[in-house]
Amino acid sequence: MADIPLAVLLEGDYGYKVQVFDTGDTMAALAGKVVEQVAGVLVAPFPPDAILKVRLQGSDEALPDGLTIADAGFVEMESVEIYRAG
Amino acid sequence: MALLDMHEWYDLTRDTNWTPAYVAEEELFPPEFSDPFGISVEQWETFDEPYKVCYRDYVETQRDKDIGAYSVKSALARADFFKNASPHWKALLALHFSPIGFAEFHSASAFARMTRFSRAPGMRNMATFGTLDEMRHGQIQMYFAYEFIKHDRVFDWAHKSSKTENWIIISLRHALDDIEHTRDAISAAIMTNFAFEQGFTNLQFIGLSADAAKAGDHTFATMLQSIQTDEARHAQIGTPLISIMIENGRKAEAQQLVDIGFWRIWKQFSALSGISMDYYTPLEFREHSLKEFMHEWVVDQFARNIKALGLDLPWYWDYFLHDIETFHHSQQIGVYVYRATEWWRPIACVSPAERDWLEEKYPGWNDTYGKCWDVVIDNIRQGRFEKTVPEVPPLICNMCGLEVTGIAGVGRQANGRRWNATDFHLDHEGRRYHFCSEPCKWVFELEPARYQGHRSIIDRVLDGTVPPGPDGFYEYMGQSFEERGVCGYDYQWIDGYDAPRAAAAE
Repeated sequence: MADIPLAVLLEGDYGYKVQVFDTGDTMAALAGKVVEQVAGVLVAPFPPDAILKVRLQGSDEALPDGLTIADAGFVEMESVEIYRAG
Repeated sequence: MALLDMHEWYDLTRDTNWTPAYVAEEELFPPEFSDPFGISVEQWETFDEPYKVCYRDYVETQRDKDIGAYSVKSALARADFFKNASPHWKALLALHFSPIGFAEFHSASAFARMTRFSRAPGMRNMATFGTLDEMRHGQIQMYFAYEFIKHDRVFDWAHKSSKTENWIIISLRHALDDIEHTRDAISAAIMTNFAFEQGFTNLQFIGLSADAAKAGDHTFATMLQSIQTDEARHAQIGTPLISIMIENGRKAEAQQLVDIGFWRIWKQFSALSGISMDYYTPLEFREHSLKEFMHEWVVDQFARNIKALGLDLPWYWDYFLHDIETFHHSQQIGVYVYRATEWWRPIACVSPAERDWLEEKYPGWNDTYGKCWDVVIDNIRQGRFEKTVPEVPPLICNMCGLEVTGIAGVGRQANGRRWNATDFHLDHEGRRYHFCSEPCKWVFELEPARYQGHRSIIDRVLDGTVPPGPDGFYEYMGQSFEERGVCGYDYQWIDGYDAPRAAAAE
């Protein structure tokens, strides 16, 4: 596994952030790491039961929670959105 | 002996073109510096400057302007205006003086190139005075800024900023390098004089001067007026150039130069002047919002000028109208929360009364940008000061060097989504580039080879150019510990939301 920087946008935030992940991180882990950095800082904390999903910017389809960054084929500085699905 | 009036000799004496005998015309005026558009010298010689001035009259006028500005400064020097000014006004002065002084020297360089390489004698004449103008603007603004150093070392950045790799300075330098330093004389003049000065700075100095006078900062107001009158004169170089290009079948090229120059300067203007107008100017002194200013002076007047010349509105005009209402609000959030990366003391300017003003001027502000501020405010009220600074850096646009942002919060519907920030990215030769807007991406795509080598401050962090460690980032940007921005009000601005709180150390 290796480090990979991504451009991430958490729902409600005013702009993209750059965060470094591990290529072995799943989409669920990715979402959790972004929430940890941005929620409660620039975006109101999400309710504990909020379901957060990851999608490529411009796509309407959520990526599977268990999919790893490596398997998703993300390039360095891929742009992804983390949004509340429920 | 009686002197002739200027109009009796001006046209004759300005005609300084000649046929070179010792070098070829192309060596004297290389096309890449003088005219890559292939327009004949006879056509360039039709350039007729709208505002004619000779050296004798120029010196006399400039001397009077300097006497006026420096006299007001001397008379008011003991008035302690700065010491008694609010953090709002101090932040505005710091934001103005820090990048503008060296920006004037960029313009001096552009004018000097026009003076040397233009084929049009009248243009060379005007550009000579433009060069002197810009040198004066750089000197007077650094001198006036330095008056404040004894009160606040922030103003050392009026000179120091240009020598640093601070991310805001990189952003401005990239724009000025693009339109002023690395173009031929004609392109630089259209971009600088028409798009930059006629489009923005001439008008900006009028607006800022009015705000300064209202705020009682007569030294600043007088200095700005003295600069604005120069801008109004030399900004007129661009108009006849565009006419000559259109008459000689180069409308498309002229249009593209205007479109690039206007957008590049708009992004700088939006961040610097947008924050100054809608946030840093004390509420009681605000004459107009950025949106009102832009609609009155730029959307209406500048657009009329463009059409009158025979050009079209830039293709991104609708996008631009949207940007007027959005971009600087997001940038202001970033400037405040990432305040340690700036050399002045940023202020939030979102007290309850200021939010009411923002909501009135920008309906929906509370449900969008206000949502991010709500979180910041809650953290300050709860004493969670460490939470007011994100640990992760923002994504920076590979063209304008500012944050890649959009509409925050939950209020507006855009593309069926509740919030809307788009990273307009592009994969080029194995590298992913990020842009804050479609026009920034468009500028890159026009000439990738021109821009692809540039790395944003975030690129430099990721590729190891910025030294690691807690201080590496700041030291790379030229900021000692004392030069890292802290909240200009020590969080006291939060008082309007609740009972007064004790100031907290950063």
